Amino acid sequence: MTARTSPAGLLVLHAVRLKGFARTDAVAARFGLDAAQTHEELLDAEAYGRVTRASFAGLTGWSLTEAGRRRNEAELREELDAHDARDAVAAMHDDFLPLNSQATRTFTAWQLESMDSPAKAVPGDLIGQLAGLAQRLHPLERRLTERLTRFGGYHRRFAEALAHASDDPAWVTGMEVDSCHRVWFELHEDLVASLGISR
Amino acid sequence: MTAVEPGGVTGVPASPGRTVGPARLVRSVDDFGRLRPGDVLVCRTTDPAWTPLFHLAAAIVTETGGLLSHAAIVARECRIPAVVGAAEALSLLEDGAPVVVDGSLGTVTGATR
Repeated sequence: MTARTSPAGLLVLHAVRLKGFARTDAVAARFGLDAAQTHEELLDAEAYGRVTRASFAGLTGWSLTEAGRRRNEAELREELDAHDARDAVAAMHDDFLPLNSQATRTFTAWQLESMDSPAKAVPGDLIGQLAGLAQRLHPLERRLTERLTRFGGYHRRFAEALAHASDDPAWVTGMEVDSCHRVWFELHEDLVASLGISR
Repeated sequence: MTAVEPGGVTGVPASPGRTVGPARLVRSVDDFGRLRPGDVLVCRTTDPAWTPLFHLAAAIVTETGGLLSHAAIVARECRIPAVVGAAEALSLLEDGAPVVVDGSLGTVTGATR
């Protein structure tokens, strides 16, 4: 089986979908694209009404319009079908769901426990639970990257966040860093978008 | 005036705290520009595109989801009250009307102004 790479136009739109709201350099970085090419792709997408540049809370970034979201899902659908990858992604999603329940329970329990003392150190059993999730995530991701290279990187990023979490609790569920929760949620969004389903 | 009927809207208490603000009904990303700082974001569900809104909103009310949902986790991270799984919130709440969100009780009630 040969793993396929995705066209830049698809990756730019999908990066905006996954990041939700991001500057041009962050959109480019998501799939390691050239920044100038990404900028051009974003301007084209803006002209078609697929992305919009907005400012929130002092930040400026790109986000998908409803039309962009539909376009993104159509491109992902066509890609899965063209490479005969739909069944593999759907099967992976089925195996991901119980793991997702476990992950969201773990994140929620940690937040509720640490709510009154935000600076609390991350306990060893939480690190152990997250390490268990990372271990199970690895083979799931490999099943996807055997088909499409764009699914790569989630396990690496999750493991990196976990390594930071031992010293800094913000890396468990924080929004300002590429935390375990952010990586996990991005993977879930990727699967939902790729399969054209709702959560 | 009373913004919503007595009893208001109830859902899952997902992020603690109590606040008041105008309800802002946001149905899609195309409506994001309508949200102002201090508004109560009322929506069907959230995904990564919605995350920046959590830094502007005073509270979050979603029609779907539970304690483990994206909206709940992000709201707790941003330390703003959230009520999730509040069925029909988009139908029962009026855009711009002041509401009190209690993220510990899971209630959204009309505010007197």
